[in-house]
Amino acid sequence: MLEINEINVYYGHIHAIVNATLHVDQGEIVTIIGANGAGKTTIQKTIMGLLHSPTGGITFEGEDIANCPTASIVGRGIALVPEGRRIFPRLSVADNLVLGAYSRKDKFVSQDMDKMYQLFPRLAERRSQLAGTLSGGEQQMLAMGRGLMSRPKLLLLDEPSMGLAPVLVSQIFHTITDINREGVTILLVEQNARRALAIANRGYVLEAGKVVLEGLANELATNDDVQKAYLGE
Amino acid sequence: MLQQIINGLALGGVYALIAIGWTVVFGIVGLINWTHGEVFMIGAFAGYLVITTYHVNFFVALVVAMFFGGLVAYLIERLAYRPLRTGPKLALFITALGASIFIRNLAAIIWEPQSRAYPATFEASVMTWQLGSTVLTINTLQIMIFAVTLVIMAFLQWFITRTMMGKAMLAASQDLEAVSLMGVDVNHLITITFWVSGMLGGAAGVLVGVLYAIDPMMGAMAGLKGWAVAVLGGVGSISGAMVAGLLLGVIENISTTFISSGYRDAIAFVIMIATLVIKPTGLMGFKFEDKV
Repeated sequence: MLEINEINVYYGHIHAIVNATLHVDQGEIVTIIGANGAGKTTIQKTIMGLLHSPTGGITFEGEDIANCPTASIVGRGIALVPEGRRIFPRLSVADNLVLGAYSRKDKFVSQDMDKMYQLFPRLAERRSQLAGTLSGGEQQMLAMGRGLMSRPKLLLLDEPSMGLAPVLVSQIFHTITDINREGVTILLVEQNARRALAIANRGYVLEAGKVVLEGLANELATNDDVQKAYLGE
Repeated sequence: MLQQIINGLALGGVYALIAIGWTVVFGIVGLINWTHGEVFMIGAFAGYLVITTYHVNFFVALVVAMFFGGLVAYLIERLAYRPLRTGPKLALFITALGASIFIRNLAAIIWEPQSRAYPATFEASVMTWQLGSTVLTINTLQIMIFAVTLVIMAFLQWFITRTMMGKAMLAASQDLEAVSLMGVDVNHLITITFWVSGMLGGAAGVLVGVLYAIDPMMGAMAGLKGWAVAVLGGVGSISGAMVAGLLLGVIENISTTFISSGYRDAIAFVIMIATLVIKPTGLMGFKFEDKV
């Protein structure tokens, strides 16, 4: 579904992503784990066209998207729920969700709003509140709901558990598997490697911008190096 | 006092229009838009020229001025700002300043620098109103100007809260990159923003034109006052700019009675500095803490 082939990304003189190759197949949950600054967010931003790789290529459903503007990438069915949530604090919860559907032309937007309110009942209670007044967990739910409003085929999630209380973390990971079961393919970037590998089919380990290891999630979870470096065992 | 407030409201409405146009651009592009005063001047001249040449009525002139204000703002963005958008902010700032000086002086060459007054476009009458022991006089021209600014602001409010493009503009003033992740074409959004900004500036130009004389340098002070009003209202806040504009118009008028009309233009900047010292987020500026 998504093929990333030998991309390199630079921030000025810093070589942030080095010859990274990875792919995501239809229906999977794939996770990218790695330390802070390993380049996980950079890969997701490059997929969305916010950053560019002078080499290699990115294809989605067989079409080259490496040089597409972000808006057209969203239109093709990829959505990013960014790190730090990035909801619009001075808009209402409902308006945040509606904006998620900006790229859609169909008539089912309000129907999907109701679906989001079912998936995240807390948002339904607060639909007319300003998003900036929500708690961190509610903001994460809003960010995910907003991402889903574009009806993506592939949902990129960047650190969805960051800064949340453990009980909320469990809830967020449950929701991710629910969303996946509904048919949305997921590329999940996480520092919480244990939780990410527990729900993923496959995983990639990123170190200093390089893919150093890849494999089935349960294999990675039992790999000695991964355990030492990311699972604290 | 009440008389001063009434006198101040018409001018305050105009300040509000200028400030809204200034603040939407700052909110989204993060640019101190020096050319906004020049767009206002172009609007004033477009209205003047169409009235003197074609003898149209005031409302036609208003629409023409809004069109040319929007067009000029769009062209400035397209030609001067867009090529520099990913460059350093300082380059954009200096370009804006340069473009402003260029347009101002080009206008002085084309239209000659002396000031001129709009021909009377309709019969303005003066109403008097007995209120206890005080007699209030209200010029119908002031009422009409105030009404026009209210209609424009109501329409703008509808646009930004009820249409998808308007909501995207509001969202963009909070997080432009996140808006692009919603599938919004950011270039298109910025184009619309400059059109809206320019139309508001052009409208303000005509409204000032029917009240006062116009000249090619009139944009300099107007642009700075728009900035001051936007700061008072809370930078990036449209409703803040509306309230702050009306407030400044009234305060200026009161101050001419109680202090001196010579200090009239200084008032705006004293208020701006005071705002920055006392409450830098302005009257309606927001600051949400990041939630953990």
